[in-house]
Amino acid sequence: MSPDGASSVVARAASGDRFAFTELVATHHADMLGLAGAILGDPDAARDAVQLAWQRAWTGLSALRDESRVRSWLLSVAGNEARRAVRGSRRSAGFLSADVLIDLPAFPPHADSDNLGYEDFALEQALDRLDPRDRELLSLRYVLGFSSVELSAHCGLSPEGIRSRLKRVLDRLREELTHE
Amino acid sequence: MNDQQLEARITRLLRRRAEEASESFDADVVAASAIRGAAQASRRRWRQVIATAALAASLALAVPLVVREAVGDTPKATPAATPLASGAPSASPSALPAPVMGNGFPRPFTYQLPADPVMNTWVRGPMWAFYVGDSAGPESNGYEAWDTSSGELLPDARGVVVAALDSPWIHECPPPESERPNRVRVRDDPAGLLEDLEAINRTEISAVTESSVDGGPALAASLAGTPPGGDCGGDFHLGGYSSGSPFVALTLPSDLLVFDVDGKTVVVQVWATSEEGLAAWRPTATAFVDTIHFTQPSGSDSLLNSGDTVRFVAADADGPWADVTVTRTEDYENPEPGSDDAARYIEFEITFNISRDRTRQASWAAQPDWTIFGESGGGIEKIRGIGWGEQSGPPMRHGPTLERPIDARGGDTVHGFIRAPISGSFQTTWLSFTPRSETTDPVDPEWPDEYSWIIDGGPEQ
Repeated sequence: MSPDGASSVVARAASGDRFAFTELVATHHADMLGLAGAILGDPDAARDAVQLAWQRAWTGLSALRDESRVRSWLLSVAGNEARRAVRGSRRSAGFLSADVLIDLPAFPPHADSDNLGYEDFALEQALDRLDPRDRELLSLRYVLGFSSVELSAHCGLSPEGIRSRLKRVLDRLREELTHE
Repeated sequence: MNDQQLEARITRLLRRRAEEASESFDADVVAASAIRGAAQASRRRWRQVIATAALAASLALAVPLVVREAVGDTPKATPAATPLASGAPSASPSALPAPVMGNGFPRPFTYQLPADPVMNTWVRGPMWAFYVGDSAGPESNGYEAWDTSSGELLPDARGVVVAALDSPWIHECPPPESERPNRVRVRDDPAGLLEDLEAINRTEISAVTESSVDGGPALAASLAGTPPGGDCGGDFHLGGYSSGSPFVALTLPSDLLVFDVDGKTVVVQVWATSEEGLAAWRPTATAFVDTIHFTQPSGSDSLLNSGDTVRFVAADADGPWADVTVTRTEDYENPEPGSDDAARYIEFEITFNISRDRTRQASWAAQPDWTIFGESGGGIEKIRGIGWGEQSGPPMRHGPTLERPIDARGGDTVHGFIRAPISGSFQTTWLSFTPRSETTDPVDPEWPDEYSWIIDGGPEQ
């Protein structure tokens, strides 16, 4: 789709055109699900987060000033909802009773070759201990293939800042894995 | 392990997560659901007004003494919260304040929102935020002051924050050169807090003056709202140690009132996004702040005692209540087998009378710290303990929601139990039940958006 066409769809959706909004959903929903899924690690929670993200997008699209950034904006909304879900689950987890906790899968949940091995399980645990913003950064980089320049525009940091932050996150993961 | 190996493993893991979340979807359904959800959220805001009116009506008829006392005090002739300039009060008599208890607040407090402009309420634990505008921001933080895409300040944004502190922290400025975290605990007494904001975070604060809130002493100061340079933080956090914890923004032109309530420091911030905006907003905001009243001394006994009953007041008088009844209340000790919890609890049993076949995913919302039990086919089970309300409010609009499938045939009943501790300052709270997904019922394809009650901690009528 041409940039003009994309802008037109965004403008129409922002003005309340449901068909245009549906077109946005068709275009961006999969990426938003992927991002939320990577952040949350819980498919159902990711779907809920993205559904909420679309709800917010419907009411917030008119605030989008640069229509060419709609993909980045929608991914931000999805990322924010996913992070909010992370916070909510952490908060709730503190109140889980023992009878609920014992239902949690024991480590490792699937230790065969088709699933998670010990090392991947450790990495997954380390990923989940990251700040959700860092997990979002990794997801944008490694799942959606954002370049440093695209990440820079998305995150509002300089490309150098992005590279530095990525390096810090990787260093932290490496350190955690080393100490596992 | 080198960078490439680590990146390859991360990529594989994250992509697998993404794939697990992927699903075939119908864009029409996703879009329609989002639009409907947005409309429901909008309607809930209106229900808030209806709910407070219903509460007012119920309280006017027969009320527990303390609740009547709390509500009867408003609008309260408290001294003006100087130095905020007094203006013509615009609080509407019909917009009765809901007596509420903020999680982490030393006492519940009442307030009276102005009739104009319409203000939204946002609550996260010890932070109660009231703001003008729609809550369209994807990363709501109680302010809605920034454009979510550009990050620029929204010219008309304005609001009031009421926040209780519990081990607050700020970002040290300039940040330390070492790798240690740039987070410093600050004093949480009113004078100490203001001094530390200025000394540690370089916040630009006016001279501190004496003032009052709810008849008690307070310190007042103004913030220029100048963003700190470098990596200095533009906020202070109320407690905890997470960057996601509630915070008070220091980069907005604002007036601060800092005062003590039963040993805890409470901050009231009247803010706007420009000096001119703040000047225009100050009279209305001041009138609102003047209605804030902390209702009950901390440490006092609950309004509910053993043997008391409670009553439920339908929040939406036009709601179709035939399907839902509250049939029993009771209190007892040690509800959990084997528990050493000596607290007393009160339990509400709610029965959904299923008139026709339904298949529903339902969502419960209730006061934070309550425990919800449900029965769906099998025996009663504890669904989940719940913690803070992510979006609780007076009344709670979203709250900690619990989802539970309800599969029932015509003639069945489905029971739900809400268990609340009898402690602290339970007064009046909120419970809602929200059917979510589609029904297979061809006759009545839509349940109401939401069943909701105000639970009044007084004698059953």
